[in-house]
Amino acid sequence: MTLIELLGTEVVQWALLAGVLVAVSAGLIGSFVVPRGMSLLGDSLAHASFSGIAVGLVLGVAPLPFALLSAVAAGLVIHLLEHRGITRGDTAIGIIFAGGLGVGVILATTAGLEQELLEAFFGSIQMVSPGDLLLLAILLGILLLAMVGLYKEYVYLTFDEETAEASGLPTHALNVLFVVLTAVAVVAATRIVGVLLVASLVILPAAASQHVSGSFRQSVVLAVVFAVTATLLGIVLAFLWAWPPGGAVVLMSLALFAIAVLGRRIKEAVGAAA
Amino acid sequence: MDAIELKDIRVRLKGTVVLEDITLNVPEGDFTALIGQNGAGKTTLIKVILGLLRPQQGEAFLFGKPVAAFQAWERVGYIPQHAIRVDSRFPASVREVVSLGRVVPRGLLRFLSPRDHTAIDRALDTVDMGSKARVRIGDLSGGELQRVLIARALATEPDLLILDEPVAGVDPGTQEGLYGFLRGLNDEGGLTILLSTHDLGAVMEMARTVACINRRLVCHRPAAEGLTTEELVETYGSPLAAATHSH
Repeated sequence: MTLIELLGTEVVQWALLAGVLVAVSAGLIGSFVVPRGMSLLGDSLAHASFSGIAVGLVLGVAPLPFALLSAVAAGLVIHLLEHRGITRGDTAIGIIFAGGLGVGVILATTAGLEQELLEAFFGSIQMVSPGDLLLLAILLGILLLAMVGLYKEYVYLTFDEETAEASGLPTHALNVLFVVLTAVAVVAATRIVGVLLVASLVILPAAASQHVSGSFRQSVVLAVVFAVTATLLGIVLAFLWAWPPGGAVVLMSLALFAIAVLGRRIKEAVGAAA
Repeated sequence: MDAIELKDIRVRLKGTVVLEDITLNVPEGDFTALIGQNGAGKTTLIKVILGLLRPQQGEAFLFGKPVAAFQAWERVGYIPQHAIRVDSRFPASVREVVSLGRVVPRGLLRFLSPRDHTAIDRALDTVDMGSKARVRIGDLSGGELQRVLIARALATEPDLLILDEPVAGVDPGTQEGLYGFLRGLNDEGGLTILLSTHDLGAVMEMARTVACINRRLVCHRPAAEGLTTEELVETYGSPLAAATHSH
């Protein structure tokens, strides 16, 4: 099948549309998660969402709402464990990281859902339903509303949380909301790239954009552009060569990251020589 | 009225008393240098003033209101101790960092207005960084970055500016420039300033008032009167340390 024919099929079009929704969410939240040094939070919430996916699969209903619930709950648990001083932040993330996956694997294997397990791990682009698209669009809408409305507050928190708190910003409430929003973006991303490879969309595009951006606003826009580019290319490759979509998107994200790092180095070298 | 008033402050952290019997006031329009060696409790005291830390005893007031009930945070500009260690990879322009000073005055869920942008431009011009507004902060020198962070605090249009160790890691020439610049803000704009530092030297010439602490308040008087040898030794713990920090 040629590329043109491929792009003409409805299954691919639905998948690409879902990919754009997912990539915008992941690129947007990644722009804040990465500079805040919370990259592994996304991975941990993705693992937690897996136990929700498993519950949905076992019950034979759409897993996305369950994934969202478990990821949000896990995010709040991580925040509480750290905020109350029960464990360090990285330990809390590690506990959820392992716990979410462990519970999900037991549930899915007990119910004999090995194939579904594989798709949940590495993503799926087959049969994106209108219902999926509607839910992804709603999730993106929530994320956009919150991040646009509270953009300046989250830039402040990302740059310097201590001063933001001293200035009178309600940092605790904003942090709780941020964990919930990260859970929303991550769960959306798992629909395409899978639970294990969420970092490909949350971390890599944002990390790449930081290398080439002159301002925070530019880094947000570029992270979204990179995430969308990697996702669209990855999905097309996944259809063309029957690759797992998660792996294909990771490869494209890695390539963009490498180009960004190299591009910055070359620009600096040229600047130094001039 | 006092911009800052501290009454009998006592703070214990992890079982150790780090501040004791601190009673101190900073009147509006004053420029107070808070002097003490590393670990003397300067940052802890500033955190109490900003409401980031609740003392076990005593009470702090800002513009006559208990800190716990203080709402007008736009009147207070704060530049934290770690300012100089800002992550150079953070992808923000100078203007974006200064604009953070308008976040709280503007309020939640509101975009910055033309009035906010005017305040940002004015703050950038005040620290002479207007020409570098679009430069990425990672490309600035330590002194320039410090001025940007002061501009962020000034953009709030505060009545009180609190700087925690602003010259740590900055060369002596830049230190003197910064102190002179702050004195200008104090003289011309009437801005009240509280500045903590572990070194004496230039700050004694620029500040109006000096307060020395070493867990307790050692002295509090006009800077022009200077410090006695006994006070220096009590502030720094030993004659040698006192001599080292005095130059």
